[in-house]
Amino acid sequence: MKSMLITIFFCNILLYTMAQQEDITTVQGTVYGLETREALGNVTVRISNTNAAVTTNEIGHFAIAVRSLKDSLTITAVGYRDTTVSAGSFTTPAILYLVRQTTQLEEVVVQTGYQSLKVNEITGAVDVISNEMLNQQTGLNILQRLNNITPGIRFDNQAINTPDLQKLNVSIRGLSTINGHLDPLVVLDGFIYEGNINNIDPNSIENITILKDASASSIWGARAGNGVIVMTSKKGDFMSRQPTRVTVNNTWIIQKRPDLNSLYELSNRDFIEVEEMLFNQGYYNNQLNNSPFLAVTPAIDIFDRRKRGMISATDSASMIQNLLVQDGRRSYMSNFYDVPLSQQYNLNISGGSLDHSYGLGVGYTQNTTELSAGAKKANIQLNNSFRPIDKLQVDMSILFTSQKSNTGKPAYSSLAHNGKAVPYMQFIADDGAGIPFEREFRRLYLDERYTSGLLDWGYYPLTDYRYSRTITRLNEWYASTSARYKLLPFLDMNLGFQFQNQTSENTGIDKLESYAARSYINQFTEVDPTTGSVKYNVPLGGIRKMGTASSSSYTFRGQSNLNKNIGLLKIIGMLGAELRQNKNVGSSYTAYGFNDDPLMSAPVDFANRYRNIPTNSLRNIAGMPSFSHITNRFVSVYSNWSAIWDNRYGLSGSFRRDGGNIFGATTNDKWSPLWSIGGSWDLTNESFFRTEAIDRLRLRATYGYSGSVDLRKTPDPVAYTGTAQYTNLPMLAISVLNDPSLRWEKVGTFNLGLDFALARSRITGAVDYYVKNGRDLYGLTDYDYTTWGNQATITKNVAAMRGRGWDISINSLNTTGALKWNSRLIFSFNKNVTTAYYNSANSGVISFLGNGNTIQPFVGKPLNGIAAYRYFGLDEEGRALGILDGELTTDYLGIRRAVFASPEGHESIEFIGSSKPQQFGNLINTLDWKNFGLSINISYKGDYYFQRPVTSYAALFQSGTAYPDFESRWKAPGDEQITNVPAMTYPVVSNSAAFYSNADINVFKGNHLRLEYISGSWTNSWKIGNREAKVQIYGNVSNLGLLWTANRERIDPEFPYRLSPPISFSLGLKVDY
Amino acid sequence: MKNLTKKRIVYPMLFCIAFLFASCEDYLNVRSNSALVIPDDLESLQKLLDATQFMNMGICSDGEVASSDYFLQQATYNAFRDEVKLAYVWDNYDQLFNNDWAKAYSVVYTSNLVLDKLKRIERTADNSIQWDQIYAEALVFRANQYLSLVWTFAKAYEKQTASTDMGIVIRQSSDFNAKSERASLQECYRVIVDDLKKAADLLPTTSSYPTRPDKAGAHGSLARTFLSMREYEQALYHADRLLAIKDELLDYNSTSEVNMSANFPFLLFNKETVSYYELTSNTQISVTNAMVDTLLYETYEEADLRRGSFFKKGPKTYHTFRGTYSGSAKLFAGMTVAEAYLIKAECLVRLEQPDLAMNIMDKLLRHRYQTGKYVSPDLSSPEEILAFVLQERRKELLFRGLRWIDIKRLNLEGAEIDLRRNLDGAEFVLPHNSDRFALPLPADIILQTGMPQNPK
Repeated sequence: MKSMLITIFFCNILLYTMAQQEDITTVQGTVYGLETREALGNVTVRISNTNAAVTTNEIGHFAIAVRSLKDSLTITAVGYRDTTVSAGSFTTPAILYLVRQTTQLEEVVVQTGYQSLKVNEITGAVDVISNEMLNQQTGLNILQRLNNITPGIRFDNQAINTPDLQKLNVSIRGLSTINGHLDPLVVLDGFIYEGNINNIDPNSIENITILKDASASSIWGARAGNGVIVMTSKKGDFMSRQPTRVTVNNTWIIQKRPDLNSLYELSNRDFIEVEEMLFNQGYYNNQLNNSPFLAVTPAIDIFDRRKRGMISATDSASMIQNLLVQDGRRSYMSNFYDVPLSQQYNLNISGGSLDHSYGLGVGYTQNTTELSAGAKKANIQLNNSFRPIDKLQVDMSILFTSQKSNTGKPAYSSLAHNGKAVPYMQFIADDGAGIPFEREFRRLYLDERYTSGLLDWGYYPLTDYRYSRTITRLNEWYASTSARYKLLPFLDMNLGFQFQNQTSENTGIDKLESYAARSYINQFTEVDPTTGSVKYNVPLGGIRKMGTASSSSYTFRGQSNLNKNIGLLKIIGMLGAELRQNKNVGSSYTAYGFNDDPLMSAPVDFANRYRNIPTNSLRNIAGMPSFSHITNRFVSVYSNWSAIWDNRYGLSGSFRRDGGNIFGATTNDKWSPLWSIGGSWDLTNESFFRTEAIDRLRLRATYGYSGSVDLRKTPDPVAYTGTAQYTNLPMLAISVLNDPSLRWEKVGTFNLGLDFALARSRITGAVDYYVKNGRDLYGLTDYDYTTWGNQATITKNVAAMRGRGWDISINSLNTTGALKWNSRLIFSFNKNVTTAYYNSANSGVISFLGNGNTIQPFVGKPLNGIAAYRYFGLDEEGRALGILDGELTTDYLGIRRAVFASPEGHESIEFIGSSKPQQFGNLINTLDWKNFGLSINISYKGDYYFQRPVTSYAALFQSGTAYPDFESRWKAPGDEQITNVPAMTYPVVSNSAAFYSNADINVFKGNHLRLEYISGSWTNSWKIGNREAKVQIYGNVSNLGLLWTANRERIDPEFPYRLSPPISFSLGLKVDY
Repeated sequence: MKNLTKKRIVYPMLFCIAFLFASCEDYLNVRSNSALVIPDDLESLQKLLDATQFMNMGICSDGEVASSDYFLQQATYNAFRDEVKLAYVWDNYDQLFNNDWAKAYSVVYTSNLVLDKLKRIERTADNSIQWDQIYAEALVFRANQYLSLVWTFAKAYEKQTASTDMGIVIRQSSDFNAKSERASLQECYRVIVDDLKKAADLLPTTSSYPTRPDKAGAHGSLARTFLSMREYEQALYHADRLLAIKDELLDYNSTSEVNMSANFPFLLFNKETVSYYELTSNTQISVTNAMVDTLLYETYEEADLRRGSFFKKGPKTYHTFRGTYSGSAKLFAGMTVAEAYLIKAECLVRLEQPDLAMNIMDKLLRHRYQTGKYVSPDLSSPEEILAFVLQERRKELLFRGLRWIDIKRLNLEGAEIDLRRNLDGAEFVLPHNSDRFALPLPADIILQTGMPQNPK
């Protein structure tokens, strides 16, 4: 394939000889385009290495004075290759033909993973992200580098809702399924990559191809329905210019520490006032009386002691006074936070000769977070290709990754007293000693009740992490080998094998000094009340929790490729078959009485239940060994053909059939067919379409169809094994219901695309329009659980949906010359809508209440949407007002019942819009001047809504969380004129919080502009001997924050009242030799 | 030459492809998750029924929540979520998954699955004992669950109206796509009685664990069923059948059997336990939240050992309940020998044999009082004796999921028991003739199935 890349350089010069002249001579000539044979105006003719230059006139003529006929002339024209000729050639007026520069589009090779194709050989929607683009951003995750530079890809800043269906939180062209896997398929060097994406060293990736339409899924199978990300790692070239090429790269990334002060918290005074009110109202009575062992906040502890007469009023007042002066956040930030730092080192050596090429990459990454959690990663990658005989090429590649990470200090949010966080936290006493934090149990109770025989119950957040940490070790091998034999000039056969094995080992060690170990040992200790003798059911010593998970996969592939020209017709095709297995094996257990020097552990009784201190309940000791074993197997046959006639008309088709070992499925349901067809038309190669302005115009279209079957389509229910409570007998319980009524899920995708290059390729780009039609989509739906009862929802063919959108990318070269200014605009529209919903009894518009992060199918509405209650301010008692039967009301339960009863809509609820951006894009401006380069990336997300979180008094009382609206809450009659925030009451007004937090006043337009990053570089190269050394110093500043947002409160729509990713600075050095 | 090349390529290729397809069926038949099983032999069906955490813990507690052996303190009530508050005042018409209905029908589903699978397993001379046992166990689990549902979501059984009164959903197969419909109360009780009778014939006399149904337990369920139908002769017959198998009572004076100093004095699977079930958990009636009705507490005499073993001093002058036979805070709802005695005594009074009834009460209460302190009350009229038996029934069987149906059936006997709640000075009353004694079905079930809701 590579040979095809080599473009043949044509230059045709007609000469008329003329006598040689001394001194200054004027030479002249005419410049034509080779293909068009038309004269070219405005072409620069410059004497090489000088500033002397002229331009051609409209008829392509130029004349320039030269000192010597030995001078060379450099002829440059936009859209044409630079050409250097000797001035002597023009002693008589000569004609020079310039070769049209092949546009970037044509040079790009598209790696589908199964084939390497040129852009004009494919009909589908693809994006190729070059190494240069990938390097505009730094960072440890290769996928993150696609963010902001790739059309149609949206990185979601909301937390993942369904971790079993989604790991990457990236979507390509929005949703195509409701309850299926949501991640794009990741392919590394031709094979599906099942490992952790963080294992891949970003510096080892040469480029990335993104396959977005049906032609992707029809060759990669059903899992490619969400798009395919094909990564190609750096390799050596056969016949490279240099036998060895060395690249050294080093990057440092520093992040700002998170600023907790940017999050809202009640002031100490307000907070303690609320606590006092709750205490006096008896909110804590139940807990204090019935579960007196549970931790309470320091203020409640003081109030309770005072009430019980354990301390005097003066004592309690001064203790409260002490709490009032604390600043928990500041104290936390200064005692816990470090500067997050990452370092990346990478060495690449590559080279090649006539029959051998190789690439070696070694990478090392180290990073520590603000909480001193650390990770270290080493990568070694070796690629080798041989051509032992002319017709045979053997490729081998091995990737080894080793990672070790450890947990750090406790997160701010983890510091809560039995689930309630307080703003007046204290970590260090005046004498410098660590203050114990009552996280689960109340010290007062423990001290009163258990006087001897137990270990210290205190949790010391400042030092505890030293004794309690989890270390994860991960090793991964990824090896692939393939042999390609050229049977005939136009036909080759390819055998490939890939093997991957990832083992990760989680070791949680809680030393005896740690709170976790001390507390657990105490909980299972029995102290005889009369003799005082102590029995440790969990032996004294550390606790070591082990978890191992290994995943291994292999692929065996046989494929034949055909590439033949028959006259003007070019046929490219392949036919292959593949076997794949993916096996996940896991085990876990806990060892007690653990000590590492001398190494020892002690047995415990997992079978019997023990009376627990201080909860008094019967509990088993946790950590009995458990095992898991999952094997997925796939068999696939696939084929992909394209025919191109005269570089004008292209036709393509592909087909794939997948089979899998779906448990319990009948043979027919194990196989899913996928197909696609496509066509293309290159207008620029038509004789009738010859215009100066347009260098390239190519239309392409594909349509494809895929189907997948749900695991629940089994003839029998499936049970899992377990152990029965009380009797310890082996038991079974049904986990998957058999539902013979399930049908195949079917998705049809249409894509229409246009590639263009204008103004002598100064403007290039592509526009794609697509429609995805899904039918019989699986989804979780409410059902009559009288039939089963185990789950609230069940998978059914619930819905049909349509996704529609545009992906646009435009690259333009705005200025040439010394200052080069490039712009890249990428923009996407994506809308999806539910077109049919089969369960009419579904809860309706009411299901859209909330932040819109869960998928809710409802006919005519986007899958992720927000609805809100209509809000009418407050009444004179500070209660929120809604509407019911045309009247303002505080009957929130009535409103809820009414809305529930009319799923199609109701006067008191309003559907507002999509909660996911339906328009998004980036503008990247790049400036190059001399050795300097600068890129600025601004992103836009629009046409969506977000819900800001507001204070729920129930949540404030229970967990201490509140939002800024707390400050402007209704406090006294009359306040209803100036605020919409309901009064704080105890007991909480029934359903009030659910009504107010879902009110329309809390939903805002999410449109915003964000400055994503600024990156700069300085590059220089020197000749050392006959080799060139290139040095680049680069830097990047990212997460620069919002430039503009549509909401007037300036709430970040992606991180409403949450910490946004902190600004990060990176600096790097790259040497190429 | 060219032909030769083609043959060299094409045939091996074809062979490879053919081989691939021939072997891929086997390749794909590997089980994807080794912990998964398709239960279709007798052993695996027994294992489905042995899953105690599902099969024995689905007895509805909504009725206990609605009845009045307990009350909530205002502060406790205030801290609850709305639906919890509403259930306390018999107004929970917004209940969604997860609830008693779901947990109960999960047991019904598993029982039905076992029964359906059994039809596909041939009953042979070799496996008949095991086959019959599994069959009967499934019937008992299902019937007990139906009984608990009927008691909770329907009115009490009244012969004259039972054929038109709304019962619950009777599902006799595991077919997921079969539509749910409410059967008449008559039909519900017919199914329960038929199944239990069939099972009682087939089951072994006693089983190795009280969580596994046996003959004694089946008769116990029948006695409960007939008592709730006010068919006293039948109830008496089955109580007697049970007592013929098992009649040993716990002596509350024995510290090895009842350990007063423990947090929960009674042992799991103690000798009085005939069958073991638990109520579903509901926060209102958790042992920490529910305060025992003060008047009820006062009926336990000082010499009554239940006063100490059933109750724990709570806040103020209140008491919380700890007399569950689970050995933990879980509320026991199974059959006990004592309950069989109480059923027998009640039936005897109603069948005009009050003296025999008093003998039984004396036997029972001697095991409950401090040794030698029990004095048989001097009661003469059958009405007084009945009142005494019913009083003792309430005192013995509180927090067992029985009070709700007792109130309903006693009201049909003319007891006129009204329920009252006091909150914030306001009084909520559930009058004895209220339709709300049939608790509402979950709102989402009504929406999904279109079945009629119980009248408000």
